[in-house]
Amino acid sequence: MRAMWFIAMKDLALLRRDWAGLFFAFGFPLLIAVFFGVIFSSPGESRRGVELAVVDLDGSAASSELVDTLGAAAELRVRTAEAGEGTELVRTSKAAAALVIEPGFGEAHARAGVGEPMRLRLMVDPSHEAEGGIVRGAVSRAVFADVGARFGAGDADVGSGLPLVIEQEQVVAEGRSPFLVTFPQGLVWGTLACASAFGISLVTERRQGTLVRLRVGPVRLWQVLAGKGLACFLSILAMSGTVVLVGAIGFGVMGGASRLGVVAVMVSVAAGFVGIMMLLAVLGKTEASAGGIGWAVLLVLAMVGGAMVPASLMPEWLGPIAEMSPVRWAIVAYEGAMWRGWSFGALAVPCVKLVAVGSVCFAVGAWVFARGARASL
Amino acid sequence: MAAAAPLGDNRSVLCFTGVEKSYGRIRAVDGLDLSIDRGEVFGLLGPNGAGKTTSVWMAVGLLRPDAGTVRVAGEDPADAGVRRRIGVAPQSIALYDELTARENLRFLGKLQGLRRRALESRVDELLERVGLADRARQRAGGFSGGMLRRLNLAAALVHGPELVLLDEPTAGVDPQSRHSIFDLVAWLRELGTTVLLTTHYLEEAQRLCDRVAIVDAGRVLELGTVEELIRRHGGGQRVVVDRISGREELQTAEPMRAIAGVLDDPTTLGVHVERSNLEDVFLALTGRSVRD
Repeated sequence: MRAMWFIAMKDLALLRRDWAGLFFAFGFPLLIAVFFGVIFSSPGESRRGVELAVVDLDGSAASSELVDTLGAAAELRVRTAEAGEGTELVRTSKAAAALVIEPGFGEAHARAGVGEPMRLRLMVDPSHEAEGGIVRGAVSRAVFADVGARFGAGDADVGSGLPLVIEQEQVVAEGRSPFLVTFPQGLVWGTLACASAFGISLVTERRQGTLVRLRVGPVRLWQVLAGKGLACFLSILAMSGTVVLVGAIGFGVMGGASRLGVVAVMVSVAAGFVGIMMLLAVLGKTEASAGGIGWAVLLVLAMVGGAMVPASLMPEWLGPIAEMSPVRWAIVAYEGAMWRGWSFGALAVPCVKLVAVGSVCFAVGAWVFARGARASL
Repeated sequence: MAAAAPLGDNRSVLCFTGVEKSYGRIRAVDGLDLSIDRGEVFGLLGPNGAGKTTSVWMAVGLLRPDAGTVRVAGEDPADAGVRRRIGVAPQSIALYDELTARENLRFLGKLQGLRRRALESRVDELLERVGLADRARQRAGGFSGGMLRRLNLAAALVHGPELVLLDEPTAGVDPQSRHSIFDLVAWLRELGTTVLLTTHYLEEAQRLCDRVAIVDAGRVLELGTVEELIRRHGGGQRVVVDRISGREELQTAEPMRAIAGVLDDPTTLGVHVERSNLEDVFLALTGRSVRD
């Protein structure tokens, strides 16, 4: 029993001396809890709202009133669109969902619950299913509040039948699978895992003395770092290639994808995250702290970037920050190449951002690492 | 492997001139002047913290001196071409635990530019030399301390360097590994390789080195062959007398006369003569033992 106690005390003493490890054991969970708690719980805070495109094919007073009611909803950010434009807005990620008010809506509204119900068509980006639910809730609330008020006022035209039908469809080409959403996310999480392993191996190299062994050879420090970065880059490409291959063969995720575009995104994402991890790896003294820092930062980037929580639920002020998350760029780029049908010009935007940020991070990380390596002799 | 041109035509292979190096307020090396000749095994002898390892890092160009110059065959050791001719066995084991003994040597050989058959035959030769041929396929992570130390040494030699820097090569090893390392140094001497060996084991320096420099607090206190140093500072020979009351040591230039003087003493149990060694030299120069 005493031995067990001594071992426990020794391990706690070791933890106490690893400042980064201590921070991620105690400080980081508190920070996450408080930070996201503040974000999601401030009652007066304006949310970004779900981007909703509304196409009014009916043009009646009732449909106009519905558009106005939705426009006033706090959880929505409504824009009107022309016929056929809604699908394009969702496909290009400019709107999370599009609501089409079908012809006949006004007539059905006049005799709500009798005969044909009011028909709406909701087109949802498959990567924004949660936002789709929010839109359905807002639409239902608007329609049923109106019908309920009329029913309560003794409107003779209101019946007891189903007054509203919302037909929901995903904006993907026919034959595409829901794996189109999960595979880009899986690719990005796999990339983060490979990059994290790379960051940890850098610290191991320094800690076990093999970095010095390499440096006393005819090898420059930048060559050592570039070699390690290349290994990480290739491992990310191998992982990505395997995931895409499995997705293509087993789940049809490459059905209408731009293959060249997917390859370009793979290369850009790999380059970007190798650089980011290079910078994060230099912050850790031990493998544990380097791994902790890497995952913590990437986790925050993923959360802020909307990979874990719908961006529409975040406050207005977080919008520009979310747009700066490399995790978001990576997911958007993969989706763009795999099923959104983005042109090379559109794909170039997130890809160039990833490569540029990765290059800067790699350069800064290498500089800090070199300083540390010299000082550690 | 293509035969490398010799390290310059100078007799001196490694030369420190007025070298100073500090870490913050701590002066690690303080005006080091040293010249090591081609083909000699040179010992840098001193206690922990004497500046030996700092001197090694400067000799291989990883550290820049604050003042003075370090030259390898007249050239800057920071130059990659010069560094290719140097082999270093760091004091701390610097190997990849997850690679086998062969894979470790093969990887480091490739970095040094060795290819295919030349690399394989060199790796085989070194594994045989350090007694690890039968362990070649085992991961280094499973090796004992002595085996790791021998592999660490082999890693420094894989590219056939002309100047080898061994930083405390026998620190913490078992007698078997110690002898294996001694044999390896003797082999290097036969090959004409210049060796700089840092150690605080005096008997090791006495056995292996052609010349030694005794360093303390970053300064060279004395320099010469072991015989020269003992002659200058060892105080001759020592008569050791075992009496009923205990052991007594008599420092003398005339041991036979001293022996005659104690033989008549009925309390004398035994007597023998010991030659002075480097420990005596170090004691005379610094007033303390090298292991203090």
